[in-house]
Amino acid sequence: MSPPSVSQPVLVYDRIAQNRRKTVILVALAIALTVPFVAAVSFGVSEFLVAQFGPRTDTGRTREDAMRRALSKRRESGRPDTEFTRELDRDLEFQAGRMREQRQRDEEAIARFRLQMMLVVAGGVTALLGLLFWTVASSPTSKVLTMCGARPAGASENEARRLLENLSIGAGLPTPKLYVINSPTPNAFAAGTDPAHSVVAVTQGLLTLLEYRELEGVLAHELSHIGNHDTRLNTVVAALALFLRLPYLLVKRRIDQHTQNHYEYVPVRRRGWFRLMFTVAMLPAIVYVFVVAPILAILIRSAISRSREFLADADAALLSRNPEGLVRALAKIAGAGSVVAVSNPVIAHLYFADPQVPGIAMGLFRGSLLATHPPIEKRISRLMEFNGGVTSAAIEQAVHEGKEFTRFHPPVAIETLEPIKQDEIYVLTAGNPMGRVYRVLSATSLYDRPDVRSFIVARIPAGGLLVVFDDPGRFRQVLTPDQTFGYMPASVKIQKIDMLPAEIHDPAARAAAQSAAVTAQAVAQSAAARGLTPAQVLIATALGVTVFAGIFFVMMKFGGN
Amino acid sequence: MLSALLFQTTAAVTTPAVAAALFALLMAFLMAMFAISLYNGLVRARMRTREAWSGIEVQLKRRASLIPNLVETVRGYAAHEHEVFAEVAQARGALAKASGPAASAAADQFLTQALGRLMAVAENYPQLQAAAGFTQLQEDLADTEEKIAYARQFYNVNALDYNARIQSFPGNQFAAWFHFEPVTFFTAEPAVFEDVQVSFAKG
Repeated sequence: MSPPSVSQPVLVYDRIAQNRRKTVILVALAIALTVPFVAAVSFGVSEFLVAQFGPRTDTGRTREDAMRRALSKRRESGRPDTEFTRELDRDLEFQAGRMREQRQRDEEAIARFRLQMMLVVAGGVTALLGLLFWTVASSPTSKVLTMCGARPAGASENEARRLLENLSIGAGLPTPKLYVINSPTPNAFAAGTDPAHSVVAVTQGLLTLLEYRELEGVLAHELSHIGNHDTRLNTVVAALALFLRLPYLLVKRRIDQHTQNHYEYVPVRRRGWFRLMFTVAMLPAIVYVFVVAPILAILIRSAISRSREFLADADAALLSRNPEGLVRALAKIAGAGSVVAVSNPVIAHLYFADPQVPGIAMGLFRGSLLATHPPIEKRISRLMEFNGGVTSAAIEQAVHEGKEFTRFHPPVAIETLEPIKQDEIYVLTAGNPMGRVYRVLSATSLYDRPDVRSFIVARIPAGGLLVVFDDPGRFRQVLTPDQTFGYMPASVKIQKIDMLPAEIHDPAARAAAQSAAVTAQAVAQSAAARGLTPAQVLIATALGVTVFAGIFFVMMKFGGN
Repeated sequence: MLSALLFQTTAAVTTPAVAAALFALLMAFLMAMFAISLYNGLVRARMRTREAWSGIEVQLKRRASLIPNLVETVRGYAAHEHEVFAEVAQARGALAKASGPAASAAADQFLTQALGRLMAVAENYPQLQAAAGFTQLQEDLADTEEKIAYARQFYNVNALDYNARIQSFPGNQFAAWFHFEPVTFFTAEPAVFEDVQVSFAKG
């Protein structure tokens, strides 16, 4: 790794202000992208509805033209000019005029209908965006923790816990809970919707590799993420990006399904000339919605994530008054590699170092616009700008130590419990992809495969606690407290428990939950299965009803005209 | 149509005089909002300094509760080291009497030095290391010192913010009017930094 060059010292405060400005600009850009997107989608939908349900004005025009042609033919044909023929001509003209007026009225009505439809659809699409925010933002931290297999920090991590506590005193934040991930790769992340309910998770490898001052730098970085509300910002941006990519992802899913079923892509059948003209007229909107917006959304999301990483680095230097520790930690992690086995792109931004990059082949990803983290060299050189006293020899030494660490602690291939689909819609449609704690209300058995005839892996007594990864189907994927994975029939009744999945491995917490269950047996939770709270379901239903009522109302009004 | 009627009445009523009056009203409203937010910002900054100050006091109290235990443990093995114990007692008294950030910072500095000397004395007694819970006490003390340092840093950050707000342009007018006083930073006075003699003569 070439030694980073420092041109001129930069004040930490300036760097922090610069990064904040950059984030504001990027978020404003993302919101600015949404407006034409909503306009294009509502325009497209309203045009489609007009095309399907509107009257055919061209038939009226055809008849009118026929009448006028008949009239002019009669005039030219040289027939006797009697009162009767003049009467006939006037009558024909009058009819033609009335048809034209009718046609104009129809066109005005269509224009009004179109406008009203656009407004209603725009309102519906905006409501959908709001619902998306709510769903994505209310996902509990437990999802992320279960996905990584984290356990609460024990007595052997006292030093790290004290360090975190001290740093949060310096930052004026409540102390986040510390969790440990059983992975030899050094990495860390912070998660949580607001500082009072945040967690910081570190891998076992990080605790082994880093010294006290370096660990301080890393924990300060994570704490800065929490203090800057980065998880909330990244969730909002992720929801916005998902919203902008939704049409594209849906089409891609449809194509994938077709390809799976027919082994070749069968294009959508064209329904004639009219459909073709419709598509051509809509071309700019289609290009924007399906091509431009998704790409820009992804670029903006990655850019925001990178800029927040720089901000967290600068804030960590300010908090710990010790940028050297962070520099050395970064160098060590650069040498050791930060690949963590489970890396869904949706949560990649939460990690300390990029979890998808292998340590040595970092050069390949150096200029990647889609990376959630800036390249480590860039981060180190920015930290060096704060006049830290690290020599490049010390950095080389740290990188060497990191590589030595990987030699003695090779990354273990952790088999994932279920194939993590890279498609982001999965986050929404699958309910709880990361698992929630439920209590089983009647005794059941867990099967090896989603089939009642397969091998029984475990038997669960009534009232047992499980982590359920909800799956639409006849079987649920569950994990028992002693880490046994199996399939449970969906017919077994379950009750949602407010615990973190990592906590069910702790017998004391389990006992407490069991005793609470006896009294709470009568209380039934209704909307637990789909990952939305009852309030969310209610509001979603109200919104949906309003939108559809609006569409109905407008169409009725048009139909009666 | 109702909207056309509404539009016509509005156009009729809005003479230039009325428009000017409305504009002036809007401007006054906006300025009032700005002034209110400025005042609230100052109040919030002052509250934060007070909260940060109480944070420091919490950590100082924590250390104060650790010290008797520590002193007694050391006294059990090194009863004749009177001067060190006297120094610690004196420093504790000074800290208890101190009021305000500057005096507290100086007293805190004294106490830290006294404790450092106490620990240096304790190093001479190897059987002390084996005493029940002594290492734990040592660790707790080191941890508490670090917590005090961070609490001090947090207080200084908030004091900086508050002082800056009081002295920057729109704020300083309010400060004078509503009696917002600047706060001092938690730093030790220069007199404290003179070299102190550590004696290892006894033991």
